[in-house]
Amino acid sequence: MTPFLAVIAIIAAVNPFAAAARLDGKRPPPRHIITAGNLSLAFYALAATFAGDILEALSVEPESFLVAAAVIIAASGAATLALGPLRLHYDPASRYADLVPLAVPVLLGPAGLSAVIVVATRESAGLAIVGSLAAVVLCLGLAVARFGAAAPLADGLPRLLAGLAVVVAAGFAVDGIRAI
Amino acid sequence: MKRPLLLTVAAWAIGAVALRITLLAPQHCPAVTPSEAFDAARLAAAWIEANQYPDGSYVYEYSIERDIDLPGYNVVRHAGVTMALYQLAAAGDPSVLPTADRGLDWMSRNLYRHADWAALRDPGNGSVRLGATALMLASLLQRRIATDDPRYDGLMRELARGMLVLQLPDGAFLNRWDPVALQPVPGERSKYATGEAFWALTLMHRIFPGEGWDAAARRTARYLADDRDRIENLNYPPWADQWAAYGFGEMASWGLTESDVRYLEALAARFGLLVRTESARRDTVLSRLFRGRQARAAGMGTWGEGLAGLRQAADADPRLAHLRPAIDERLACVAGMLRDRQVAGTRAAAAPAPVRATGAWFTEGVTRMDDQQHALSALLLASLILSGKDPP
Repeated sequence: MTPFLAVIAIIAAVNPFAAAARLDGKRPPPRHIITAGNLSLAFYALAATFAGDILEALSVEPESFLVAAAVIIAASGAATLALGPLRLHYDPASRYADLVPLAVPVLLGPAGLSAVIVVATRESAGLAIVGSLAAVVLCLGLAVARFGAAAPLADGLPRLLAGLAVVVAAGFAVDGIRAI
Repeated sequence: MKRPLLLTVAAWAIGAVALRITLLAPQHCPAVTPSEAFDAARLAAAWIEANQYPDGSYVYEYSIERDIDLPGYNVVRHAGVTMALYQLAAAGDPSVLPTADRGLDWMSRNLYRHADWAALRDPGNGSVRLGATALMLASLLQRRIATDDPRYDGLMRELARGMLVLQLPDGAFLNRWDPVALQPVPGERSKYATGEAFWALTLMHRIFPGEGWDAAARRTARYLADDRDRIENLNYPPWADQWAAYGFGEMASWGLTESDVRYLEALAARFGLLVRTESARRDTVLSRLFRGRQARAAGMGTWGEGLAGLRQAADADPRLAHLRPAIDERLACVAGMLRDRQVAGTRAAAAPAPVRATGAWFTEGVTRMDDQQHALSALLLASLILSGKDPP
């Protein structure tokens, strides 16, 4: 996996288009952006830094995790492909909306975490952090631009990136199965 | 605030639990030292010794709960068990030679001869199958390595010629000779026997270099690496063929082609996947439900044997050298799981007949002789490889 592909894999798994579209065109206030952005980045960075330890603690071989991650990313991608981005109730005026749903599950989801751990174990933690940073920044940028309100694009682009996530997942699965 | 947060936490918790019992089940490879693996192999041999009939045949299946031998026999497995004993002898434990020689005598009494060749015949139904002959030949070759005794050299050549009668021009083998029609049975192949014959031919070249056995082995190598899975419609290629791995391990020092290397890499991946999957299985209802029943020792043993063959190939060919650390890790895992699941000590003492249970592996209360055969070979080869020694 080249560094470029590793970053693309994380972006596809996080799917910033789908994430932004889930806010239904509502613009998050700066306080939400800062809190949710920092929180999700902190989680991604922790997952990347301790990816090996996490798998060891779970007694899961990295090669086996690759197959599991493939299934998680593929399921997430397939759901977006089939149903489009699921709209969430997001109230920018709500005090805790920066945590739920903005940080979790919009920015921080199982597919993104899986991709970050895969990249961290196969390539490097630094690359995984760069990938997650790119995905989160892109996602928040699109949210500020009220991407969810751009009717045809907010449905098409998430599906396109979800398709890419399925392809990435297939690659992970093949690599996991072909690994000793 | 509370409701969405609780819903999110609940969704993550349910997802985490679901993943943990399905895709992310903990994998467990019990630690094992080379000497512990060797002792476990020796214990498996002790089971075979204790469960041999006076005529040289072995107990085929034994039920631990009912403490009875179950009916049935398989001549190919008889030859395989005998071969495993000779492997142990060749690795430095000659105490098993009397048992192995009794097994060999049983095979010698069941030879089929035609023209200038010989084969092992099934005394039960009279069939003359390639796999039985190939593993009888492999037994004799391991005996030759163990003892340096040339008394069976002539028989070895006869058996090897008997195998070549079944070889096709593309290197494939037919599975059976028809002793009535006096010709091979057309169209019948075996996904096991071709690899067995291949390995036996490669060993023939080691013991009798310059007699041309390598040419026949190379033809079969081509078939195994390039065509077998497709022609024989084997699902999910490559077929996890430990006999082929044994053969390529032996052949690697002669020089491998690029397609051989690709095939061996794919084979290593297959064995690795099988070992990883097995290491996540437990003997619990939940594990059986989501990850299937634990593999029988015969199956796990074949993975260990295959990995050992591939390790030999990786030692000989620098293009495969990158596989060595992963192969060693998986081989140690197989050996650890086998030793962990072997009936010994207090588990054996609690059995209705401890002598008949000690050293064996049971699946649903029954052990079959090839459980001990393959597990013995795998543990033995793992003990040698993990202690830096060459397999016999």
